[in-house]
Amino acid sequence: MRYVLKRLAYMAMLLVFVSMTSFIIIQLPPGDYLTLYIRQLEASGQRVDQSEIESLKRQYGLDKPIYAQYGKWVSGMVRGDFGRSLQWNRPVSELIGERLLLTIVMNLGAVLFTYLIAIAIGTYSATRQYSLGDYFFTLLGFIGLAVPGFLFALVLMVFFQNTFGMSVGGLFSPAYVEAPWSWGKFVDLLKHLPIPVIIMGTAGAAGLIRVMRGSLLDELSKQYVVTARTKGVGEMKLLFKYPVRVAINPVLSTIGWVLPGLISGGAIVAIVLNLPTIGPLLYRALLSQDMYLAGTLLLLLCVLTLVGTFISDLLLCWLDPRIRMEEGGA
Amino acid sequence: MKSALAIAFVVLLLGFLTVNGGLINWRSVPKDLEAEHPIPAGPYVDDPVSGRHFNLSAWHERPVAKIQTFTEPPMLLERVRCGELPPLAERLPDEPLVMVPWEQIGRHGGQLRYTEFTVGYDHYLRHFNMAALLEQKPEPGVAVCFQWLEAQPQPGVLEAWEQNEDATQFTLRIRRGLKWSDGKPVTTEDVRFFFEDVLYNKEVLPVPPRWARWGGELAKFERIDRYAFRVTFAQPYGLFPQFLTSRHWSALMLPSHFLKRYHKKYTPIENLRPLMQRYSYTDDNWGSFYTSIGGVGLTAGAFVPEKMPPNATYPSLDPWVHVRQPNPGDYILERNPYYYKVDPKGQQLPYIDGISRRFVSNIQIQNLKILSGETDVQFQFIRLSDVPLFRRGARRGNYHVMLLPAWQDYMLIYPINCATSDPVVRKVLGDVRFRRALSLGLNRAEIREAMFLGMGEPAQIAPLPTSTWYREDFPEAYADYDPERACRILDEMGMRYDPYGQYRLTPDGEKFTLRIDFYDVSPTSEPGAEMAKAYWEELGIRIRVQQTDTSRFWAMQGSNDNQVTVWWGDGSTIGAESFISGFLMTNEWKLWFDTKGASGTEPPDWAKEVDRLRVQVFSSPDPKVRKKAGIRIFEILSQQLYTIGTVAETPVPFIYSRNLRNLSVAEKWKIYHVQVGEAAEQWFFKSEEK
Amino acid sequence: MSWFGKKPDAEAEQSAQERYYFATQWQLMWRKLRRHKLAMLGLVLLAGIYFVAIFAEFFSTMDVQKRHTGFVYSPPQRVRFVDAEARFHLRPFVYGWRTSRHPYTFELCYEEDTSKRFPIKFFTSGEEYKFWGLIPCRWRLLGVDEPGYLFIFGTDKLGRDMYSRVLTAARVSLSIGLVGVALSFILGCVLGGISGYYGGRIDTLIQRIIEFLLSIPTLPLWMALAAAVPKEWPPLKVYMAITVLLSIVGWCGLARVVRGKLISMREEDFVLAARVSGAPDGRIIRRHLLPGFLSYLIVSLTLAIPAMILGETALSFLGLGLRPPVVSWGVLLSTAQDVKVVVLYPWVLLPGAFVVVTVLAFNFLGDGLRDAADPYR
Repeated sequence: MRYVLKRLAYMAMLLVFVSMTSFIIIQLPPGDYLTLYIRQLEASGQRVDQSEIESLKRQYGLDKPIYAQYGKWVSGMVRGDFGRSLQWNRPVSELIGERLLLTIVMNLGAVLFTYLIAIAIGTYSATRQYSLGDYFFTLLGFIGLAVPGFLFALVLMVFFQNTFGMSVGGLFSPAYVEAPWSWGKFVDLLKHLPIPVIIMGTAGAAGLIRVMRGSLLDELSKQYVVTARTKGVGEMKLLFKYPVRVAINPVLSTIGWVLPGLISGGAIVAIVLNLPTIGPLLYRALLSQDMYLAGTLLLLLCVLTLVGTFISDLLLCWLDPRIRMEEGGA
Repeated sequence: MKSALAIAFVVLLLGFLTVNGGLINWRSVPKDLEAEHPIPAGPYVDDPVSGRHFNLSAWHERPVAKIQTFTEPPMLLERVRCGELPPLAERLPDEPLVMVPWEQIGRHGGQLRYTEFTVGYDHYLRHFNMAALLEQKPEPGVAVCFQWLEAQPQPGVLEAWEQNEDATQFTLRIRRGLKWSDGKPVTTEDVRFFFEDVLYNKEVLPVPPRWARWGGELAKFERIDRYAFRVTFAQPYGLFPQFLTSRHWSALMLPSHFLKRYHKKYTPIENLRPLMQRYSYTDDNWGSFYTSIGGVGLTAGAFVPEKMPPNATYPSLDPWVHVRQPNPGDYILERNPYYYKVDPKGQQLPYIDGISRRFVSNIQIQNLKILSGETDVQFQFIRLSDVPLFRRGARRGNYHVMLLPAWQDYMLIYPINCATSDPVVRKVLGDVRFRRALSLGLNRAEIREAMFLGMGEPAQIAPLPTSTWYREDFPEAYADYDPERACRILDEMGMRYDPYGQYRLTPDGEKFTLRIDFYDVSPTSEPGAEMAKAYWEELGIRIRVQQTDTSRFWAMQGSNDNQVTVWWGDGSTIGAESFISGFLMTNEWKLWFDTKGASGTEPPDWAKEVDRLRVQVFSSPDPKVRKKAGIRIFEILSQQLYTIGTVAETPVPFIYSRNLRNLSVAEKWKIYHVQVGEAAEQWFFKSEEK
Repeated sequence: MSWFGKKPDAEAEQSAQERYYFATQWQLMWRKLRRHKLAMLGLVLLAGIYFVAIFAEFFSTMDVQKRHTGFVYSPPQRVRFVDAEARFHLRPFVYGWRTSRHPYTFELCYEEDTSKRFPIKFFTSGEEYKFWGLIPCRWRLLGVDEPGYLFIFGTDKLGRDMYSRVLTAARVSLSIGLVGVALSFILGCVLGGISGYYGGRIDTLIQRIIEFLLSIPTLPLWMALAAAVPKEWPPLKVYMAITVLLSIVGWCGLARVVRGKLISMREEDFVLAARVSGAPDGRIIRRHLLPGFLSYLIVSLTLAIPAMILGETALSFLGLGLRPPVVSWGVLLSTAQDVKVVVLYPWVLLPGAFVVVTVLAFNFLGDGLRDAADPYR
């Protein structure tokens, strides 16, 4: 118990430190939010008058020094106000809130997909080691890891649009974008999910396949399996009754790390595919130095990472008594 | 090990066969694509009045069928019937403005869809929703907003305008009975509010816009009656009516009945505090708060609905008004029931019922949506290099790709800072012979092939043939590709090669490196810089290309560190800050002119003459004087070459749905692509039967 | 077994056993690795790619920045042995292109021009280049005589030869992986070693720093830091900055692992013995502790390299990271990230194939190494 409390206190301190660092990092590039804004105007031929620049600077509070901006942000956080996004001109909490659900849905789908194919291919690979099928499926799993996500996404999009005539880019077709939730909208969402889920799922699967295969191989060479086999237990039952469940343990113990990934995962794919999720939001915020939005997002991700590692460590503790004893001793 | 080698060999062999062995056919020449140019059809295609605006009374003086009644758009019929809206005759001003369509009379209906990937700004609405104070007719060489020096003003929001003899006083009259989009009348009170409570208000506009400071003092306002007012300048401003053709109505009048709610002179600041706090403004920042909602320019509430307080609609005079924003970055607009324009048949404009903007995150998604036919019009950020892709998919996506002249005229120019801070480089760049050599060293034909798909005319920076300032020798000045002559000029200057025979030294024998700075303001910036480097290095000049970002770029300009830069250029306008007469890139001279010699470096005589001529162009009320001055400016430029041009009249793709009418004739007339966007109110969707 | 017939069985058995017992750890690993087919394949491929990357200028056909504006977006030339008149040539050749601009789509259309035949010569002496920017040289593996041209992988939007660019880019991409991993390794070992061996306050401090760095999610951290790299830095400086960036996450994980192993191993008897006999700490770490898990380190490093290569491509795609005129696979792919390239000019995507093959090869090798280093099987 004391361990938990100590850990929590330490996490809080870390968060403060992280918030300061991320704020500084966001402001590091030369210029500020206006830089990108003005450049967009100039690219279309609009020379921005000096008077307008000054006025915009004051509008966005960019004429104040950085510690004042930071102070404003932190003091607002206590009240639940995470600042206003400069480019969207709306409260940060609103912006993040709208996208949170879809982000989690999409990433959850990808994670499930990942675990599913990892366990499936890992099991197949362990049982039919060195066979042609083993090589084939392993290769397939690894291709997903090797192909850069953004390239894969673009190629898939073009392919889907040309072959199936689907409307790509985004999670909904134009007809359903504005419509309220309905069965049709849900089906439309399902039609758009395959691309991001496939790309993200295959990318993450390779590592898990290895782990799964390794641990299952360990299990299968154990005594009890040999005994069961000689006693005539069927292959399938033999496999799933016990060994697979045990082998899954190391795979599942990494589940704590999944938590931050639920929000920030698949950022690159989402940028390419124009998905209304957190990843592109963060990317745009970082590029345009929209400091409150970017800072809040980074902070949120840190929180999730810390919570995730915490859960992961707890799980590990719980699963493996050796570590528990060691922690208690140390 | 052996099997691994074998497999590796097989893999390599397969790779080779695929790429170079003919397993894949890489080339696919489009064979069955005929040119699918739409043929503009309609009675107004060849009519000289097409696209022009007339006050109703002026229209009826012409030999045309008189308009007996005005036709209500079907979308509003229901609202009129149940009394929500007054009938059309009451909504229109006393003298509606008749706009002659570009091709034919249209029909009401439809929703215009487009995609954008900019947040907080929209590159399309600023053209679609541009109800100008005065209108100008579409013709080559003229583009509202950017190139208006040769515009011929016609009535717009303002019914009539007069100027006194020396062009210091302008009497302007607002259309009688003109109403804001919420039904309230437009009067000189709105103009007074603009001048006294916004323009002169230091909190709102600490630095007033340039046009209002013409002559060094703020323009004066005088109310004559409910609809007429007078504007007085300290210096003659002969081009003021032309200037008004490029201005949105918000440049002179604001919906005072709405904005007074946010102005602390009319609403006590205590009442404003809750709203201000919601957007994190403190009391002493009220000016910024007000400006974000009711300010002047393209970044305020009229154009950016995200800046509006919740449930408040900005009353406007534009053809369409913002209705809602369903998702962040998406806009839905609907017709303005009080819009003041009608077509020659009496139908109230705009034809199209609504506009829908869809936000996408990058240009690839935009391109995919164009290809799939999900958009009706796209003409910003369409790159010339994408034209083959779009033209191939035109039939399937049900759109046309027009190639219209770019309003920039010159998509790639190299402005030179003749007074750069580095003394070694300054000596070299300051010598006109060096600049001429640079110009002669550019292979414009090759640039045209590589960057502009072989389109456009290799030329020095000059007015277009349609401009009144055009003279044949302007585009030809030092525009040949003649590296031998360039080398001879450099030899004559005394720039010998260094001992290794690699690069030239200055006439004084010093080593120097010429720097090309750019940021990717357009797709041509980077390749333009690279190609210039390659060409000029062949002349023996050592070049360093430096990419930067926009704030650094302008910081360098401000501190006089820039040397040669890459930009797009206005060929025939000399807008107040352009490169031709404003010496935008030579900040030292610009400062000298702006402060009348107090700071900056004194420019050479020819530059002083250019600035003098520039002032003449703007202030003189006599078009002949302006023309002479303009021609003389380009004479000087073609000799002094302080900005080097490459290829003129490169086109820009304009993509629009095959169902849209009243814009395809732009290709025939050679209208600038943004100008086409300005006439969106007379676009219409053809009916299903045709 | 051997070329000269089989030895008598008992003797063969005994010598095999001897070989097994007397072999060093590394020899054992190597023998096990040899049996893993995929790992061997990966090793062969990687050796090949690295060799080509080191001698990139020799293997390419022309200068990387040379533009051929008459041949923008030209497809790969087909290597033939039989010409249009059905004559067989021993020396392979390519045909030149006849270009025409399509009147409607304005693209350059390429047709093979059978009147221009360019035989491919080996070990040609062409334009001078500087090997690694230092040694002037003229030799290249392949080439055609002037005025011919050889575009093995076609050209890009400015008419630059894709083949030469891909090979030169390999140098940058692969070295980023190596340099980054080397940085991770050094930092990770040093810091993890100190932390694990000495324990106490230093340990806590280093642990906190590691946790801090690990608590910021990777991609946003990269994005944020890479966005801060000023655009005017010279390419080399940007390259170093990007490498440091990419290795940050690497060394944290490694340091943790090293520390963990050291903690568990420092109480072992042999360490106590070494300390008692007066060996200095550094020697203890280096000679006694480190070899114990060096194999594990090597495996994780091998698997970290492809992650860095992919990270570099991701950063270039986002517009942060390396930029033209530097050529790396990431830069090439980010300029190829375009609908018109995917649809009309797919050969510009060939760097992607190289990335895939390299990453796969590293992964196979890493798998094999891990299996080989595992003493339990």
